[in-house]
Amino acid sequence: MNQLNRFIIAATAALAMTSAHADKRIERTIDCSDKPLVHVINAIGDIEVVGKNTDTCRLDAWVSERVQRIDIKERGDRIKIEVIYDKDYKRGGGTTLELVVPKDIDLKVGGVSSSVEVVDVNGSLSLQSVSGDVEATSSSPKIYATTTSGDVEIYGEGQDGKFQLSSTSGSVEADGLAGYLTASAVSGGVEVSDSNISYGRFEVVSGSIEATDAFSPNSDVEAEAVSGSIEVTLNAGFAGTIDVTTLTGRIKNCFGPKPQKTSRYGPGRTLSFEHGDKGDGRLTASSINGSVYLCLDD
Amino acid sequence: MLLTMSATQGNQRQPVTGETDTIARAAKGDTRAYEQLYRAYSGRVYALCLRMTANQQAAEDATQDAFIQAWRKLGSFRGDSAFSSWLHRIAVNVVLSDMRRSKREIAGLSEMPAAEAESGDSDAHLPDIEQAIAGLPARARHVFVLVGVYGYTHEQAAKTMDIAVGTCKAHLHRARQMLADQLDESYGRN
Amino acid sequence: MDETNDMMARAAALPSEIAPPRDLWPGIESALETQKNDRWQWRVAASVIATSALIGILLLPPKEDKSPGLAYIPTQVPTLDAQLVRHMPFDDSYILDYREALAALDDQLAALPEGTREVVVANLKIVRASIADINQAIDNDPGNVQLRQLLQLAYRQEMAIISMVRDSVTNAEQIRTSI
Repeated sequence: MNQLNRFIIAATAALAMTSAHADKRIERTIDCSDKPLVHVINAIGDIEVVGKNTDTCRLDAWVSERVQRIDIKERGDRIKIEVIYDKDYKRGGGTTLELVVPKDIDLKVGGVSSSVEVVDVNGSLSLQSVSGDVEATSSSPKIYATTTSGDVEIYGEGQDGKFQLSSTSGSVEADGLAGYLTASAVSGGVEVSDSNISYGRFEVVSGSIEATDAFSPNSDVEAEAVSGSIEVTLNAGFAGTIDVTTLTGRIKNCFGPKPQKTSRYGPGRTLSFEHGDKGDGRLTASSINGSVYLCLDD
Repeated sequence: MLLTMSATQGNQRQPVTGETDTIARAAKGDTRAYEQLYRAYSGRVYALCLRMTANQQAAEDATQDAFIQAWRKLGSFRGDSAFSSWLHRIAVNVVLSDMRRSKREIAGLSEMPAAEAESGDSDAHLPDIEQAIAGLPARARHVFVLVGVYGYTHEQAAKTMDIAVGTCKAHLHRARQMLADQLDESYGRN
Repeated sequence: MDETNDMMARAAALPSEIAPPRDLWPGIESALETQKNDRWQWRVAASVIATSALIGILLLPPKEDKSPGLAYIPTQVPTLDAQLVRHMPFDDSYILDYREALAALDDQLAALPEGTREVVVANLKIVRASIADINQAIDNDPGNVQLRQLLQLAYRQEMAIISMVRDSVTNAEQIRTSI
């Protein structure tokens, strides 16, 4: 505890609110020049973070009457901005946070009933919400984004990196990413486009998986669905092994051999073949009760 | 290409009395209830599919696929939006997925030049904007139908079509120019 | 410009409905019936087996032994009876983890937004139905490797759902400590 306190360097801005003032605006400017990580926590209300060419972090907050204070703490190499609510927070509204940060900073955001939107922050991103959408437009090489009941949308600029995206009842969309991508959803769909993914793992239960113009030539792709369909368009230069299986769905491919029945006695179709010139690419696509559509990019 | 369009004038859709109940019964597997929903909404879905595909056969297939997919997904319809909107989204996705799947085959039909789309009409015939839309290239047509006919915002259309907002705007601009040119020609102005 | 605006106005005023040139319902109905029949046949087979298993369980004397099993029946989550795992050789530690995860799931579900909770339960049911389908298929073709891989997929997805629920609740709890 004492050790922690030692690291609380500058402003612990305890901004006490009187309960009589709803939606009061608070503005703070913090020197972020030697702090590579900003951590934002706001349980209720939207969080928007924009990266700019600046050394300072600028906070604009519209706080509800149930907010006790906003803590701004510097600990070690990070700044933590946290909205502290009254115990009876459920009776009041939330807090909207708008934050401008240096664009290369690492960012961690946590919300519960919160939509999270991040624009042009290009350090590593860890974005979490429970009820709310999570959206980022960024060239960050490392993005972790998850929500329970909301959509996850990540728009990259073609950067190579590692991206982990998930939603339970919403959909997951990734555009403009390269490298390693895992994306999962339960009832929503997973859509990947305009990307150059070399390793992709996609999982859904009842949602569908759609990946078009998404892969590098020797990509390693695994796509799994329970009742949803899978549509994968591989890179035209794909060379490697393709394995597709379904229990009750259809398999349609616009190249290569036709699917076979897995069994004389029951349902089940499979399609396995090598495509291209002895490459080490791999596609494994399985949907238990959904169909699988396979094609090559033009 | 001359598309046969017998438009339903005004709002002649037979309302489904107790629609929530009908949807609930259909979700439990009652195909009679689902047929009521089909009768009520097939005109809307077919209109959308026909405008998006510009091909009667493809529109019929897409309409059927949309209702089949909607049947599978009925259990997940939570009533957050109107049933018609939910069905509309499914139909749009069916058409776009079909187009992506059989790109070459459909492109042959949809990339037909505007002049050809109007063939069959006499010069004196007042240009039908439906025919002009059908003659647009596929992407431009999709954007125009979603934004111009169905009132999507660019953001909504871009998201639906999996394209950037800027690309969406460019397609709409192109579509409007092409339509304006076609209408100019048809009116004998230039 | 006026012509363009006029054209946009005309586009927006186009009729919302166009009657299909033929009745498309018979084709749709036929597809629905096929789906229903397929599902029905598998479900009947699965339920016959599940009922037999239930009768068997009821006839057995109660066991004092607390060894891990799959009999826990949460209030919202569909149970996984022994028949459904007959083709999946789980080890005891997995079953123990699985049982613990299921036991915690009801409380965790209660902490989720209502719509999400319904989605999770509905999808767990979908997974269970798929597990039943695959088990039936394996009964008819025990040596089929692909079917066994699909069965693994189904269990993996079920655990993925359970993990997602657990993680969301844990995340929310961590963030709520600031309240």
